[in-house]
Amino acid sequence: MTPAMRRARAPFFWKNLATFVGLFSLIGGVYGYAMYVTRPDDFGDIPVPPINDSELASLKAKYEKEAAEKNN
Amino acid sequence: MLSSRLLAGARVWQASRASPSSLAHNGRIVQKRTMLNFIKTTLGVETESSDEPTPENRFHPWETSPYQDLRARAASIKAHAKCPITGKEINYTCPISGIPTHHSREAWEQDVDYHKNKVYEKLRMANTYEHDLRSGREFPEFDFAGTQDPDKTVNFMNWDTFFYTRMFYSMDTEFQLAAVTKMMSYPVTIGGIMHEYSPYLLKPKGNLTLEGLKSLAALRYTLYPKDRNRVWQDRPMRVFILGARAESQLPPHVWKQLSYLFPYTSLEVNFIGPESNFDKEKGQYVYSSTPVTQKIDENLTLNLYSDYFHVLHEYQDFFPYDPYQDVFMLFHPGLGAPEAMDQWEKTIPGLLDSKCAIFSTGFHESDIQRDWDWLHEKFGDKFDVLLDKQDNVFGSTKWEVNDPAPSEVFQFNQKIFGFRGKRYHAIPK
Repeated sequence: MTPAMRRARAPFFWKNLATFVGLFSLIGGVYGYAMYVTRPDDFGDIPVPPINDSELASLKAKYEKEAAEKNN
Repeated sequence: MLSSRLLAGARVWQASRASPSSLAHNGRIVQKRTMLNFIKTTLGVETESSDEPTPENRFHPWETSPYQDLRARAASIKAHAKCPITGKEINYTCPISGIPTHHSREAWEQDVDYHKNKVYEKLRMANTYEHDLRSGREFPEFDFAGTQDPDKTVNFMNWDTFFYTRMFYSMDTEFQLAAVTKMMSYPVTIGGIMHEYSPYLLKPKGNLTLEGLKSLAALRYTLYPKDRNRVWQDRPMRVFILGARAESQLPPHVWKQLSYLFPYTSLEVNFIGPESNFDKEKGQYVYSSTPVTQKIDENLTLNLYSDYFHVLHEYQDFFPYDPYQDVFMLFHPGLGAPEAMDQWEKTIPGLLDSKCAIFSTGFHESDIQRDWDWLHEKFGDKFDVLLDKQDNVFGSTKWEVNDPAPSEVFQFNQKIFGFRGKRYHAIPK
């Protein structure tokens, strides 16, 4: 920036800066809020219902059977 | 006071004459230098030109100045001017400004006003500006900007924003500003008043009175018509410059700058007064009974009239006047100056009769105050003030030395005010 350009822009510097800050905070706010509301859900606090061994074994067999069919 | 108004006027042009010589450089050297500068700027290396003007390298006491004409001016100050303190001849050169100002060192020390108002600083600037104009450096700032892109608005806040938005050469130093504003002051002062984005605002924000706004609104009605598809001007808009001196000698491209500000309006600039037509070959003012017309292009005509305005007004040469299309400019007329007031007393009634806006500038505060007082004293009840006296936004930034009184520094078009003949009669109750 040349000195002449700086002098010509000086009267508008603070207003331009305020406009920039205003626009940036608006856009930044929208972006930030959007990121906040679409953050990945954490289900870690939801208790997993207990499951007994026989049920687990049947489920495992069913799963393995399905996987074997898929591969064939 | 300013007893040498005429002298000062004649000198305006002299200073700027230094510019063409700078253009007479050998083309090849210039080309080589710009190529080198180009490479340096692309590489980001700082180019420190030895010819760069600074307040230090442009300073020389006038008596030992390298330029003959400045030495002659110093001698003429010593021969003709009187010391403001002792009233004797001037023998002492102010060590700060380098210009002879006082009779002796004692007188210089006793001059309270001189030191309190820091006149020496302005004198020093005047000194360095004069040396800079004669230095023969390159003057790229004299390549003025051309047509304004219609999508780009000109900002009239001050000289810096004006040059920036008009895409002028970047005026980085005060020296460049001084050299250019002295010429540009005349057209841009007029443009700044008439333009829709004028810096002169209505009271209380600015100094423009309601009557002033009425007059300017009338002019802007012509400048900015609603429907531009039709021809709206049945004749060019006329700018009358009364008591024209230096301004009539400005090259046409400087006046074209006024036209660039109003690209759709056809303008006619009329220079009126016995000193409007200067013959450079004869070196004197010449008289011509018919106007000397210079048609620059379809939108700008310059006319030189060598008679006083009141003579032409009596002949009805300019009839009819129209406040919507005519404006009067008085560039430092010296209304109240003893050597000029007789003529102005004959001229002013004609101006007031026309009901057109009249703007007048002054060299400095006391000069414009004297004009203002004189006008109020002689024609107090016959005119309305359009613009209270104030600093001209587009005055010259170049400080000048007044040879008959060197400690009285001034600038061209430094102050401005506006007036107009009353548009109605007062009704007594």
